[in-house]
Amino acid sequence: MHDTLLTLQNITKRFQSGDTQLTVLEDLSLTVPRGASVAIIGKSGSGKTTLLNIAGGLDTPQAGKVIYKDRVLSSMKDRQLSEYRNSNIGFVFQSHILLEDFTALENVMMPSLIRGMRPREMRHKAQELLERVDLSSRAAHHPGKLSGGERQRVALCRALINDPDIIIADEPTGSLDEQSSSGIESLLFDLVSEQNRTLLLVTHDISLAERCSHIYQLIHHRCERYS
Amino acid sequence: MNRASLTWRYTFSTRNRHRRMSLLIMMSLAVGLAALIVIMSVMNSLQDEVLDQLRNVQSFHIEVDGVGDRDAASVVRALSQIDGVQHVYPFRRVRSVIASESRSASVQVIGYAEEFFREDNPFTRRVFLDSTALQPSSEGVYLSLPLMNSLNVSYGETLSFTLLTRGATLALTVQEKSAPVTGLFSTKLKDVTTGSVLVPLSFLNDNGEGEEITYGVYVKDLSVREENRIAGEIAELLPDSDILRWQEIHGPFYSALLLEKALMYLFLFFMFVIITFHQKNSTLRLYHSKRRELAILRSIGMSRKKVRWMMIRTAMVVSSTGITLGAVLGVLVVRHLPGMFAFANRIHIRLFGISNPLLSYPITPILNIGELLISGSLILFLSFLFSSKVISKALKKEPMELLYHA
Repeated sequence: MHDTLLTLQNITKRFQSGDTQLTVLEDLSLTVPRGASVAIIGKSGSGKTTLLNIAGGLDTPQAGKVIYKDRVLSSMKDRQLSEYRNSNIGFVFQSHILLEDFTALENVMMPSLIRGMRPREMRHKAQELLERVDLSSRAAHHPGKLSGGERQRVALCRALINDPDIIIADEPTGSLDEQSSSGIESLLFDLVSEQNRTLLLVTHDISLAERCSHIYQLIHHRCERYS
Repeated sequence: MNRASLTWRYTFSTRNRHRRMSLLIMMSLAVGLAALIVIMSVMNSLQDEVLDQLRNVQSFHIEVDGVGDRDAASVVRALSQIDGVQHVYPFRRVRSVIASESRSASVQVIGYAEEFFREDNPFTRRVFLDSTALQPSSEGVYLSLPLMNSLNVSYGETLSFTLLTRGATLALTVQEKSAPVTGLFSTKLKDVTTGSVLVPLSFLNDNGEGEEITYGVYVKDLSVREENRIAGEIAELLPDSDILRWQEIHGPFYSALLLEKALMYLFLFFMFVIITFHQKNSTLRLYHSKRRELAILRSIGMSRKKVRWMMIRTAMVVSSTGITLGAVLGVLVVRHLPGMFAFANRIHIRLFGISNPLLSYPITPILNIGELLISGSLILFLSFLFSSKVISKALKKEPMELLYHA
């Protein structure tokens, strides 16, 4: 039996494009239970990434509420919202966004540095995570020297370093070849399972979505259970 | 790695791919400030040089006229007792035509009391007197070398003077005199050097009926407030006298200097405008080059406040390093400018066979620490202002908007 970790209530999001207003999400509601893995599928441009950004506190809706453990994100101040992103959410973006000026190890350490963890502790934890994803030998390399798969594994470690409640992954294998994709998928699900995390995943890959406990389809600006 | 090292990494680290831009911004600031320092120092020097000669060679600080038939010694005594007065000398200026055996010239004959040439005063400290020559006495006069050459006279030869006095419509001849050339003088003011003859006061006064003596006053503290106070006390002491301060004596020239100074500050203002635009553009470029990183840092939980201060610190590190380098560079150039001019002039002479009038000018730049501090602080303040403004505006955007749609 799962208790609710994250709730999206009647979310509406529109973008202004010139003179026209583009509705991406309208009156969308979604519940993410603790410990569950939730997949959101949908066509390109259906608003999957926007939904994830809103859930992760990276974007704000025009209407509706995002509730995390009884706390409404829209009522949080910037400092609280930043803390929420830092401590409770681990992001894995589609394009494995890393800080180019920092090594793989430093990239992994960055969220814990922001959190204020002790240097020795964060270094040790980052090294452990890199070892877990078979990248300990690449710890001192800058992202420019890593392959796409390696970069995504670094991004995965970065998402996990602060022991977040939820991993939010936006098409994590979208920019990778088949072999790398398969490796990252396995790693993602293994780590989430090992560390008992909640996963909110966006993908257009049905086979990947089918590995999740809940699947929703984003259709007509709303989430519907996929069957 | 800690938060301070993050700032450093974003500014100068060799691993920072935007290091080149930080260095370029820093170097351009340094060169701009150095140029500002050099220009201000040279302009200060030129102004100071001219004002110094004007105040101490061409005129006294305060001149008192229209004293009447009072005894000169008692007037000098009374004026000397005013607090703040350094020296008082009676003198006269008379236009004259002087002639040697073969040539003549129109000059200003200035008669000073003999002690004026002997004592240590602002005039004798600035004028170049031929120490081997005779002191001016009632029998002799001082000429400049160019005047001696143009009149074709040498030491000991006699000159005849036709002293003129001011009239309503024309100059009237009042006296014919003669005296030998006994000394040589020079000043940095070319017009004074070539157009004046220095004589003892007694030379002009022995038959000078109706000609009043003027009293020249040097004051200790050359400030407008002090000069005004002393002028006020002189007016109380000698109610019927005409009192002129050096600014009034050289009214048109002083106005021209003020105008020049105003134009210099206008020029500096425009330089600041240019630096300001540079600062703003640099901050914008710095921000655009790091926009992606800012978005990532925001997405992994760095608050707006922390990101803003990190970027402001980055901009301040670039600016303050640029300002420090600029100040050091500017001071070094100012220190060595006379030597650089001399070196360039030697090359000019070697190439063209003649000295360059600009490069041969004996320039002595004056570095004003106050101006240097104000300029540096102003640039630093602008840097803070623009970086703060640009970053605050950028951070209003949501992280993902910053990353994909900025």
